[in-house]
Amino acid sequence: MEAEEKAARFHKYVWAWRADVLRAARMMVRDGAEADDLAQETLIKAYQGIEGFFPGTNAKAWLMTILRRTRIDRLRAGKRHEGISLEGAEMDVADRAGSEEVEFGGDVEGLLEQFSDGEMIGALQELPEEIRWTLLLVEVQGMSLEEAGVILGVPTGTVKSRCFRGKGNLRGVLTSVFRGRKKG
Amino acid sequence: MNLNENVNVDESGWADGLSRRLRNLDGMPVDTAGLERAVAGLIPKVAERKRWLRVFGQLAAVAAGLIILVSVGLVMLGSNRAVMAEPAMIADVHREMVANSEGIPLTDVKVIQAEIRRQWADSPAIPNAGVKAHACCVKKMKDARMAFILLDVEKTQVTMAIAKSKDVDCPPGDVRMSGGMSWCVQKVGELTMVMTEQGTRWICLTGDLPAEKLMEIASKFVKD
Repeated sequence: MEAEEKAARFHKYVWAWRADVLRAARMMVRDGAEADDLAQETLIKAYQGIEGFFPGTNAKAWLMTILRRTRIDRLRAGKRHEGISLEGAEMDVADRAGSEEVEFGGDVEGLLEQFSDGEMIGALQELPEEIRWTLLLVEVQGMSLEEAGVILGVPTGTVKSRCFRGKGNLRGVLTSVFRGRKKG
Repeated sequence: MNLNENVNVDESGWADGLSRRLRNLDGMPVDTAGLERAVAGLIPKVAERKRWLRVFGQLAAVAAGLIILVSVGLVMLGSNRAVMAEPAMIADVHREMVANSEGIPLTDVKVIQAEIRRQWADSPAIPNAGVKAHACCVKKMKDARMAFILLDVEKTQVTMAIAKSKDVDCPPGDVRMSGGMSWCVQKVGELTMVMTEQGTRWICLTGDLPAEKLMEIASKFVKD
């Protein structure tokens, strides 16, 4: 494929998703500079591999696959591990909240609205890598379990159970944030 | 009422509430200007197309598209004059310099710069990140000149090649982002090379090190 054709295809099918790529990278990676590098590298790889994209298929899912592979490559390269283990997917932080009671008035929706987007993302970043990917794809981006399963390379049932566990884990982390805020 | 108690009472309420809250994050605004700037330099047409589309709308976009195509064509014609960096040749120079470096005392990069300028008057400035160098040479690769400096970086020998960015293109291959810059990564045997362009200067670092380490070293130089 000629460079012009590649560029045209890239602009037509991929460029519109750049904000989604950057947003996803920033949700996955705590270090802002590393997140920006990850997003840039993802788009460059998408451009280089645009011949492998089939018009009419899901461009966002294709980009998320590249983003995830790029993230794994960068983690494996070991430059910025952030203490994350790719094998840490089964780590359970659901009990982080402990049994201490935290008063909030019983309104779940109201409580969750009290958390800023930054706090929600910070809580997501506390979760193990694979759980975070699952919540990002299914809960944040609204992908189906099947689509997320293809991107993550796991069966639909695993995606479903990770979503369930992930939300439990997230509740635990948010409880800690809420408690810390009350103490503060 | 507390968080844990509430989960027991209404598990699905929590799950649904979290789903809705997480879904809202998808609309969170992000500033893509930096990303666009970084990528536009590497992928043709991004910035130009966006600017023209904004100003002239649909009809002008067609004309702009033609202009951009012509520009891209001209750029491509221009870039055809540049020489593609040859990793095998760079690796050979590195090995040769390392083999001949035994017993040669380390010297200041300023001295090296003066020697290169003697051989190549308008050579690009050699970045100086406070490291010492063993030796240098100037080679010709087709029509392009390239200065090689054998550096001692943390007791490891790394060769830095410098050329004018208009004269040398990075060969196609693995592209990585680090420190907001794009790097072309090449492997020749045990050696790794990371290449980048910084304004009018093309820089390549070669050594028996992982690409990440070379990029980290190189990023200190390119800031200089």
